[in-house]
Amino acid sequence: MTRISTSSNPIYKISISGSEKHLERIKELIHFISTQHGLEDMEADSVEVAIGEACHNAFRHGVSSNRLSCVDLEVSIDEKAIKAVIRNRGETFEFYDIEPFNINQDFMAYKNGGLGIPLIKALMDEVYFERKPDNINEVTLIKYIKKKTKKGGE
Amino acid sequence: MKIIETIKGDVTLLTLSGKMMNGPESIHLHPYIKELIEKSQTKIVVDMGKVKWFNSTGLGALLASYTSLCNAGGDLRIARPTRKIYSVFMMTQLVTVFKSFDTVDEAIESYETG
Repeated sequence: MTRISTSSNPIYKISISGSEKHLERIKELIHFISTQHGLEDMEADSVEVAIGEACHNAFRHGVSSNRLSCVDLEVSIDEKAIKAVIRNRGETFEFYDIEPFNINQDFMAYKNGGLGIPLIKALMDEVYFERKPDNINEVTLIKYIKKKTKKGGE
Repeated sequence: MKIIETIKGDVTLLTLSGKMMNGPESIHLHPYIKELIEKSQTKIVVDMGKVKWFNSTGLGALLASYTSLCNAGGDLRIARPTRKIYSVFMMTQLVTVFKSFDTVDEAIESYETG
């Protein structure tokens, strides 16, 4: 992992190659970073789960079709938001055709999977997908940091 | 993921442990529930206190199980959701779908009051 820190707003660059076995530790680190920068636990959990889903998808649809590729994760955070960019080489997909999860859907549609992207879209404030040259898929996830309300309505 | 089944009166307690995420072991929950429905065991409590990791695959299995149970006139109630699981329920409004309880006993007793 590389931390690029020119100020109090760090950027973490992590390359995950070969397998997902380190993903849980990386997710724990993301949760720690998120709470250190002002996210409530619940929001940090959401960020952690969403980034985990995006990385898992990248492994599932990228690495398995090209064992030499890896998943690059870049996490940056400032006083306004945490942003994660996940890049991998793999087949493209219709990211924007997939609706965010909502509780009025037919849940049976997810009995064999397919909930990853709907869940990401439901958990994060903004989600973007971009197909880059050289078969690179880039998914960007953003969660805004809400200012904590002080007791007594201050 | 491991499933331990315990009968508590007319309620079936399923204690899950391990990783409730990728792979067939998570998807296994839904066929397991369908077998219970065939045996008319439709009041289910899922104890999630020992679930270490959880992701969309595990959530999908829970949702499919819940739907099958509701269609059979039953319910799936959650005991001891971890903070992370509860956070996902909150952020996705699934707290309005799954009745969640801090203890297994509370979840089982909840069936007595409807």
